[in-house]
Amino acid sequence: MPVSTPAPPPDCQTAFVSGLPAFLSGGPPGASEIFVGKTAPIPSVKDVGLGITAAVQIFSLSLQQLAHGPAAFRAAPRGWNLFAGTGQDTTIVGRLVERRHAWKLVGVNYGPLVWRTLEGIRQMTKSPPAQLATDPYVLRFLTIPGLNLQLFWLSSSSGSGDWVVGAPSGSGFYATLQLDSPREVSNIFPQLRAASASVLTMDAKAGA
Amino acid sequence: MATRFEIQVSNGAVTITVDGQSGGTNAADGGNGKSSGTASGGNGKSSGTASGGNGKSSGTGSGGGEPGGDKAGSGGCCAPLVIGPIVISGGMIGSADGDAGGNGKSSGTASGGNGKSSGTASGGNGKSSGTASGGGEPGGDKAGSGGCCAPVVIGPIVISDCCAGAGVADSSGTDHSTAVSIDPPSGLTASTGELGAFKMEPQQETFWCWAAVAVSISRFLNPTNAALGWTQKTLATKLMQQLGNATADCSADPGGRACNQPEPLNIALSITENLLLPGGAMFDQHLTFESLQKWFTAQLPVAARIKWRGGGAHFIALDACKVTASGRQLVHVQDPNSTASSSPGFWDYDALVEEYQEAGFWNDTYLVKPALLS
Repeated sequence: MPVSTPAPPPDCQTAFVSGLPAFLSGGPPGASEIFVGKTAPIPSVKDVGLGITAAVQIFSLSLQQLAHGPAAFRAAPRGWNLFAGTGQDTTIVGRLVERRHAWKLVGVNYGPLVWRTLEGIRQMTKSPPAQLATDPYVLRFLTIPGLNLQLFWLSSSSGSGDWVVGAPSGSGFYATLQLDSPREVSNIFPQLRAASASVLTMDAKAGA
Repeated sequence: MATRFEIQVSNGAVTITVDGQSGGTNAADGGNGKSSGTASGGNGKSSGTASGGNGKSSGTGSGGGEPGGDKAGSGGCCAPLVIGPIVISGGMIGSADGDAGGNGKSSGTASGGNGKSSGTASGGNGKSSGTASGGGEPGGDKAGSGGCCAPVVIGPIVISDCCAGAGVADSSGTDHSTAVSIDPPSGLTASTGELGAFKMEPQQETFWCWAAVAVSISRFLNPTNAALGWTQKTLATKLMQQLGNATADCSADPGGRACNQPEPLNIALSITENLLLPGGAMFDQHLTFESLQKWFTAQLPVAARIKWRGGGAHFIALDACKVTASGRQLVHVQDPNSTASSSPGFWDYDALVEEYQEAGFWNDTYLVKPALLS
């Protein structure tokens, strides 16, 4: 059975395509930039193009929800990630959010991890892991900002149970959580809950 | 759809408006909406529900929810919204002139009634403020006189088919910081030599964003000073020792419990001698865009603490800004976390200040300088 990625709303796609050039190098004339040190290697419109190469809806969970909420992913939708470009140095991901009933592009990231994540999406949808081969799933991003985690969330369309697997990252935390391969949500939840409870006790001026 | 309720009390009236904005496709994920209470007959600063009261009164949403964030989830609705019971204390019901009514700041209770309270099914999300019943706070901003009175209890009112949070209340505290404009001290600049591009090191341990940001800033501002030579591990060791763990060796066991901890960035930057003193650590404050431009012109990055609305916090650095042809203000964010969404990139300034990653806001600011300069 396939892993699917629903299409974002048309207005969301339009906002991405129309807003993207301003976030890239060599965008519309008339912009002014100030960089500390040398200018960062931001891809240009020419590098990236304006075609959408992938789109995944984003959901997020807070530490409080994880630590004290029900033992299930009742995550809130937080917009869409839309990808453009296809190469290692020429792939970007845009963050689209809905503000006052209108979609807006609020951030654009670039770099090797963006490209690796796009490759991960392609892999997940074309050749899903064996554990996910028998039932239909919807691919989502699940972010847990307080734990610095971004996961592929395979939400079951048949009610057979959800899975997660780590999105590409340089962090060793994913290996600690054994997120290199798919894990059932019911299985990993206790670990995430314990980690969340631990971080919630941090000093008021600290960060993780 | 706004729903308005008018409730008669004694010789006054309370109007409660619930302005839900529900929509979307994920009913299970709850809805969002702003619910607000209005005061009738009140006077002074009254948010929430107060009748005849005087001074500041605030209410609390009983739907629960994450304080902060009025832009939470989308999706349909949902469970019944329960408003109330509303307790109005220390106020004179029905008085046309609040000054002659209740005393000072009366903190009333209006469940579900105040401010921006928006929900998701897994817990409302929004700004809600305190709950208190009982008398008003003496010494309010208006010296009300006159009498009162027994508390008046209204409700609970149950509104079906409306957005209500039903889950976890998140951590308390403010959900925004104050915008400030601070220029770099005269003559302070990092442009003493050839600077490379600012490059953020990925944090080497789960909770080491503070180490990654401090070391990245140190290496950028003092690229030729090998004596400084901080690594995340050596910095973590020094910081842990400074905090009282004399035997900490974060090079030997970086991921161990003794070392892999969330810590304050101002301490880390003090160790690397990059924190601008005095006043480089600015808590509950963020820089205006115009001020950021001045720091970047001086070739000085700025560090920021993002406070996640659902608990926790994270440090990032800002190293560039851009004003687009249409006048939009963008800031280049360098995040030590290693995911696609935290890879380097431009973010809308307003989104960075209020809704970074749609989950947090810029709460604290750290101004830096090259080491060995006082």
